Amino acid sequence: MRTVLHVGAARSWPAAFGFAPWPLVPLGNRPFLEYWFELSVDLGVSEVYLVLDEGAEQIETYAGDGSRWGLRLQYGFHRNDCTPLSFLQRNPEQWRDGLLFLSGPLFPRRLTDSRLLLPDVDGWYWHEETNGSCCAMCRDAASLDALLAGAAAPARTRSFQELGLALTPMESVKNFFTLNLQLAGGEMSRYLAPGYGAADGSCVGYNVILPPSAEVAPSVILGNDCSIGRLASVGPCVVIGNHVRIDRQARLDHCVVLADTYVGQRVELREKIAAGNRLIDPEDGVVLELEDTWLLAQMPPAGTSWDAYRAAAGWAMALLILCVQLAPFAICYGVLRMRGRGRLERRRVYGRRRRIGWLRVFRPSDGARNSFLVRLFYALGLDLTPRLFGAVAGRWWLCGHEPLRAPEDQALRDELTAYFPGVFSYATARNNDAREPVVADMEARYYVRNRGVWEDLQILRNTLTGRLRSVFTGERNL
Amino acid sequence: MAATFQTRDRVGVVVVTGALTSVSVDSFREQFVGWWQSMPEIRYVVVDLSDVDFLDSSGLGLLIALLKRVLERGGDMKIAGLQKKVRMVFEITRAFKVFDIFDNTNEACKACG
Repeated sequence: MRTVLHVGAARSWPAAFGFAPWPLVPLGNRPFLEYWFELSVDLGVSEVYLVLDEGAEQIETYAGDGSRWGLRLQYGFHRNDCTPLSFLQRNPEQWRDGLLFLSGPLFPRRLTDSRLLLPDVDGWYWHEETNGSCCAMCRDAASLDALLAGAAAPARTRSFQELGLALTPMESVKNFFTLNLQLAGGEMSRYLAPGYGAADGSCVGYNVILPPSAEVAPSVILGNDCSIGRLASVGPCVVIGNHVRIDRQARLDHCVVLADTYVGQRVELREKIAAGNRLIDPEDGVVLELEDTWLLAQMPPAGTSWDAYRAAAGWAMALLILCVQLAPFAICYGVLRMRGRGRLERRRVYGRRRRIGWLRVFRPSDGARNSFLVRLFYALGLDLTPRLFGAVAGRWWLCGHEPLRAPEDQALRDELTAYFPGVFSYATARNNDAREPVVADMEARYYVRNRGVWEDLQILRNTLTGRLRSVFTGERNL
Repeated sequence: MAATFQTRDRVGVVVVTGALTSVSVDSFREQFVGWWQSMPEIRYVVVDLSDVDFLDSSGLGLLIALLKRVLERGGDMKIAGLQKKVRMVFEITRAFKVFDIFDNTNEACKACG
């Protein structure tokens, strides 16, 4: 069985909050397109054709080859002289094994929490809106022939409701708002929820700062890298995108706040959509562009103005540490190599500007992990000396992210809004080589948000003191 | 921004036109204070915002400052004729809880009686 997602003609309503292609409009803090990918995966489909129009480049950049969802994506481009049906008719043999077809913004709203199962029955499922958006699914050859022949409402047509799906049109800002509130109101548990799911139906992303005095009334969907101010009240039925800051005493309920938005002190959002500095009334689609950073604003990229200072200070510090470590490294590494206790290996990682590069990693031999010399080598941080050469040469930051492995960590690298592969990181400060993916993910996102000279100094101090301590305590886990 | 000041049955009616933002609040404040001091018999004021197409936190702050000044004389200030976008600013700043808001000036003037 194959899926064809035909984006069709462009829609104007996403422009109200700054989105060009509607498939990337976020529902419950996930792009619309992902719900169809999820449905395809549930139905056992692995091959998906995306027929794109406006914003094709953005969609292709986002979806890639589909491997993130376990799908194989192929792309085609919409031509004005080619209707969705004529696209299918061009090569009917491709769909002989079954077809799930979508044209236009129809949201596959699930009616229950249970997983969708494909029934083994003949006939075809059909749903059509008055504006031309339609969805069809069939598995047998006769039904496919009827579908491709454009047969109107044959007797064998079935409703998607039999499968537990209510196909809901998303043709206006109001539809978008209603769907988001339904998801925030507890329906998110029917789908793959972003972030951590809670028993009350809420979903909370990574790196959310929530002070004790802030009140969160379930159920809400909170994106990654968000901060809620003191005495703020959030919920119920609130969807907050990634990288959003809600300032003190703000009050939000039954509203949607899209990514990269700042909500000012004491601001009250109810039955509204906030997108950067735009306030949208979903009832009539009126857009108010506020040039007032006290109320609503577009969040700037976090901490960019200090990165130049960090780079300069880091380079000088890297040179200093390298000068101190060079002689001990030469002696210790020479002895380790002569005694066969370990050696430097190359690992493929993502470097600065996200290019793939090589990282020198010290690997002790199996029997030598607890030898005094190896422990001393780690304790003095000499295993990081080769990286310091890279830092002085400008290939690494002094402090930053633990370099992400290529290609294993590609998904995380793509999701990070900024990436600073460094010599010292939270991983080196933990003094433990064990690498839990969830921990690595959290640390990477935390660093993007909280990076700064002070954070770097803490990483440096924790790494150096922790390693020195471990030579006596033997805490290090190799 | 332009403002005109009238009197109807001992109720001051201030009609504001244009945008009430940080650029124009100083000018409006000066005009209002001058008029207010020259009309000691007036205690109730209606601010007609039906021709105001945009208002930001500075404009709202000014309206609250003027309300305080009117309350000090023992009167009250009503707001009339909010356009959709200005109404949205009133909603998100909770200014609805501070001001009495009416659809038009006539209704607001009646409420002052």
